[in-house]
Amino acid sequence: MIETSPEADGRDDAGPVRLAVQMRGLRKVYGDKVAVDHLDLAVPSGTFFGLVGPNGAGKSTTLKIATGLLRPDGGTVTIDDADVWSDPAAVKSRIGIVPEDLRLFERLTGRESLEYTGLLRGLDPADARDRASELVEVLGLTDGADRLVVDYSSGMRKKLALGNAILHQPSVLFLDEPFESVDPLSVRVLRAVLERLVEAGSTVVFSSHVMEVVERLCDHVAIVHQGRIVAGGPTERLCAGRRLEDVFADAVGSSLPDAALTWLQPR
Amino acid sequence: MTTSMDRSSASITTVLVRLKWRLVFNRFRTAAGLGTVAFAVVLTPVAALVAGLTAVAGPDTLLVVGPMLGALTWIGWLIAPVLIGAGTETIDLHRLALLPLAPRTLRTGLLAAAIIGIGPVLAMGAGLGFVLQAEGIVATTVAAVAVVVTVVMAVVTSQVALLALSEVLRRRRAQDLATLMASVIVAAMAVATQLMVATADNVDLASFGPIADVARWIPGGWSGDAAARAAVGDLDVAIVQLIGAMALTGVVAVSWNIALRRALTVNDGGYVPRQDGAPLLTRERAGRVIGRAVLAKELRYLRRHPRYRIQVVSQAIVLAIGGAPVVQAIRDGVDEVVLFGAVPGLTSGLMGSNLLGADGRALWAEAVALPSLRPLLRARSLAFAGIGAIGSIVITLILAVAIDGWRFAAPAMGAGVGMALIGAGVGAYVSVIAPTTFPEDSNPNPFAIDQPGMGCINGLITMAGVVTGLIFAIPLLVGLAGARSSTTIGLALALVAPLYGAAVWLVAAKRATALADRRTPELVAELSRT
Repeated sequence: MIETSPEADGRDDAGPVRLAVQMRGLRKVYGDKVAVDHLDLAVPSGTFFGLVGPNGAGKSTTLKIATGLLRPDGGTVTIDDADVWSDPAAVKSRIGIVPEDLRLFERLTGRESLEYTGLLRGLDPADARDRASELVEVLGLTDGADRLVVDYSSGMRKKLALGNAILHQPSVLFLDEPFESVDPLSVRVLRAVLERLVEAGSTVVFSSHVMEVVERLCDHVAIVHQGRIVAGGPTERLCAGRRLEDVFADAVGSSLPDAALTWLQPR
Repeated sequence: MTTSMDRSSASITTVLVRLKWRLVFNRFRTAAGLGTVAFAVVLTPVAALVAGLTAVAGPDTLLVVGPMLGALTWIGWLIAPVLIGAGTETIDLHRLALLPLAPRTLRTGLLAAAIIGIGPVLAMGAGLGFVLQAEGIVATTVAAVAVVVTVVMAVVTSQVALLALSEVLRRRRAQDLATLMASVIVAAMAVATQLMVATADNVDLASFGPIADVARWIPGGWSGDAAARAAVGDLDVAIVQLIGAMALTGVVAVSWNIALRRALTVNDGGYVPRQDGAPLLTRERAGRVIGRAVLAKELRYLRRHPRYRIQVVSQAIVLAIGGAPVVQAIRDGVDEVVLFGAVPGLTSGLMGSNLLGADGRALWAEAVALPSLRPLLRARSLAFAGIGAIGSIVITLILAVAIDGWRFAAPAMGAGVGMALIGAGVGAYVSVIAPTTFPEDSNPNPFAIDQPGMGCINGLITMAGVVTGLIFAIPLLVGLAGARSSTTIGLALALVAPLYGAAVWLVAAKRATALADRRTPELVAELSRT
């Protein structure tokens, strides 16, 4: 288990760390493939937590299980001390999700989608309308606000998905590859919104391949490999002056063998 | 130095043909392969039947069937891929555009790849009867070449059409339109088939002579007629027609070449960046708000989603077919025909047998936002029940006005409302046990679902749902029969039918909700599966 104590968190203050997310013995098997292998993870409350790992490491599966979208074969997940499977209603009210596969309400307009999500989340209709309008503006979706989502570009989809996920100010926000296929300007917008959310006391957990972004944004990182956490902790302590990419490569054992591609000769 | 540009057409052709074979065989390793198998299983006997019948048919029949078969092949190949978005998997110019290939080289390879597949093989197989009927080596050769040219011409024309329309077909509105057109065409074919069956006693193949005369002037019909004429020994005309068909195929191939060159060097629009420029029936306010929101969304979808538009078209066609005897009954002064107004209630209610289909892939968003899927299912189901009930009432009123049959209006409307509720309730349950996702933007085929290989199973479950709906509707149907002769039964039916329908709806919706809540992750997984 990673980061269950103040010492592990690198903090000096006494008392237990409040955990936003806690996973114990999580396991998921697809046929012969073990996607998640007795994974233990603890995410301190109010942190910007990065989950990194190579393709097929089990990041997305872990996030799906953590959010109740996928039933695990074993293990438990709690969000703010509420069990995902025995108390789903309590968990759902506390979380927001931006999945990798961004299927949204395709035949609603962006504005309608935000309002609809707000109403599903139990907001007052006037509040839902106001928040939707503000998010449309903040996320730079004003021009496309009244177009159907089916006609949106991937960047607009990511922004809209983020808007849908934070409309109710979740206690914990899960994002799966939020910066994939997004232009640099949109990345800036997404980052600013996420930082504002953490400042307001929420916890953000996201998976990514982009080490630079994780290193810059996250105060905590866990490296997933073959369905297990192989390294983790506060980013500064984990990296210890090295680049996260190097730490990652060491942890998952990825490097180009000397004997590979010998046919690439100088011209 | 040797570059890819220097590669011969032959080697590129080999690469593309191998790629196509690999794609075809790889399909069998996935659930999508079941669809291919089903396609082959259904169409192989049809092709064999056509080949068998033409192999033993007389000259008059051959001369009618030949041009019609050729024209049908050409038109089908031209229209179907455009309407169902089913281009050859290897002709993805987005991937090929970056390779340094000359258009002519690419064209040869793509043509060879396009001819590999079950469709072309079956189409050529269907023409085997003409080859077998031909006597002598020249006639046999002409017939065989004519059959091959028919298929090649159809394939090449189809590729040109797909290429020319590629930019348009990527637009959502065009895909929506194609979806609607495909449904109208299929429905029209179904109606035409029914009409043919209904008038089968009066039909013989000779009566298709005028159609065959027209078909002879359609490009595919030339070569089809050439095959038929070679089979009956009219070789001179057959050879002229075959030369004409080959020349036309050459012209189409040249235009394909030009279109390919343009597509490989001019942005076709695909790379242009987009211009960004408490449950319903409870008293809890929050639940009512959610219910209203879901209902409002569902009504928007009914207006905006192409699949729902198709269902409305289908309903209209069903009503139109059923409307003929109704009109006759009105003419004959049979005022009991007003009771027919109850029927649309059941059919419209059963339209809601896939409540999660239109937005299946986004179910995760609703599943994580709502403590229970109950308001979602109930509001969506009630939307369909409402449409069925309103439709039933409106049709009943129209019929009552038309024939002054007001004594049957109340029982018809009551039964219509009851049937709409029964249909919607059963539909809600079917939606949870056999959910499928409608393809959103990549496949405008009106009958496609996004769960490959599951169409048959889901179709059977949906059919079982329809039968179940009919079973629950039996008491109302019996009541309608009784209402024809007894006003008392009619009035009782008007009062009891909505209550009975509501009871069935409540029980079915409750069971559907409980099941949906129990297996929410599995529902999300099933609807997200591709």
